[in-house]
Amino acid sequence: MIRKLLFIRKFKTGDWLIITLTSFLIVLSMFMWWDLPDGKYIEIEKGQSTLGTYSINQDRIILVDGQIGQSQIEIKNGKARIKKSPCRKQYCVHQGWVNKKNQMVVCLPNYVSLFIIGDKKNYDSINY
Amino acid sequence: MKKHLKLSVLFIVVIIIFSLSECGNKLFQKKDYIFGTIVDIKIYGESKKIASEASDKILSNFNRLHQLLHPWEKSLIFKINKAIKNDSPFLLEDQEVISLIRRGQDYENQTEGFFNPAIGKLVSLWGFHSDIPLKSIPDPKVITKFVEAKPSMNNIKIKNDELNSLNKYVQIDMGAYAKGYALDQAKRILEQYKINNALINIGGNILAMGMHGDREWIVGVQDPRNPNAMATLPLKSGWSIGTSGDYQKYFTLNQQRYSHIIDPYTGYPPTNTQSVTILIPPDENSGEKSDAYTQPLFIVGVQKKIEMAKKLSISHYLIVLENNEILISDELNKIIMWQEKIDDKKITIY
Repeated sequence: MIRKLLFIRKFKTGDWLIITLTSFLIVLSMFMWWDLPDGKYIEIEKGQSTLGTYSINQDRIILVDGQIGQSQIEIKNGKARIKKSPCRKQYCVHQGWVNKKNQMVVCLPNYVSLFIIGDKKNYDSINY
Repeated sequence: MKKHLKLSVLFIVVIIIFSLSECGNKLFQKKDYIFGTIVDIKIYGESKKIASEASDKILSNFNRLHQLLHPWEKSLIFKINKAIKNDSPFLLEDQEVISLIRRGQDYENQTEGFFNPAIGKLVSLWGFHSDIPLKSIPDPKVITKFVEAKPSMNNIKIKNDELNSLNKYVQIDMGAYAKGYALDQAKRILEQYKINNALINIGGNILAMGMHGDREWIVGVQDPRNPNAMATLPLKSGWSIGTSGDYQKYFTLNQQRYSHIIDPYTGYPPTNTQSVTILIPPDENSGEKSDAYTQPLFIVGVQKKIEMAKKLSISHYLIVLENNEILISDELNKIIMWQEKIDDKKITIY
């Protein structure tokens, strides 16, 4: 078994360079072009930061501590919604379920938002 | 052998540097929630340090404007409104607010009074100066009283730093153009930093500068009845886009939707329209106009909408009526890309 690996000894500096270079390029291209597999994801944001990206196919409840209290985000049967929110007008809760790419639910008072993202967003910013 | 090694090392270093520079993110993004508004800034092709400094300045300026113009929290406008209510003169030296009042008067006159920032009392009566939705619609008698008092920005007279109102029912609410004004200011801040490529979104109103690399900035237009973009369009450098919609702020009572946009002539929210989106070409006040001009187009009757757009020289507009019918200008129709199936909708191109 070890003998079989002895061919490595025959490698010269140039071979090692080629191996290093190729592995480096492979890792690099993975970072650059590795997109999420087909399907939809929920991106949850709080204030300035993205809290996480979740698959739309895994049922779960995500609790987010926002500006004025806790928002409850539910992912179920390939859909997502803000189930409970501490805000007074409850626009976000009334909006109900979303399941299509580029859809979003925003709770302004609690600084919490969820977006459905696909492989790519096809615009830079949304006018509303 | 050594020569080869040197060459190879050089080759690798070059490759690494090249890849890292390619890898470096050219798009800087900053997003923050300020007083119930999302401010989203995208800057292309600048160093992170400069982009971050400039965006912080935009955010702090928006904060400052909020504290200056807020219609019902302790702001300068709040104090002016209090003085008007008490029929007393107000010492006003703030040139920024004076010019905002003057432009408010201009917009009111250009739009035959359908844009009227003096009806703060009506907006407040409908519960839009509070976080708690109304449980019943306001007393029609009170609405009529405020409408018949005919508050107008033209009632405000400013002479020698003294503001007086000829009508004590005037209550200034700059909500219909303050965000657009903030956009124009954001543009000026970016120009001070010599930033040429950016996309600024303040509460849905967007202004574009330059491009996103070698393509134009693309913006989505929200569907008034669904939480997604119904269309996208390229926004050229210096242009602004604004929307007035009945879905932004509203409350529902007995299945009837009451939006935050109030018709100054009836005192009620109009019910003929879901949304009005317009694009305004490069101009000193492009952002402000894209914000202000959507309201009169939203309020006027269906028959008058196109006439009003022409009067205000708006060449790019998209109007979704209550019955889902779409009115779109030829210029906008040429560049819009629909994201939804619209075969079942009636579309009229003007």
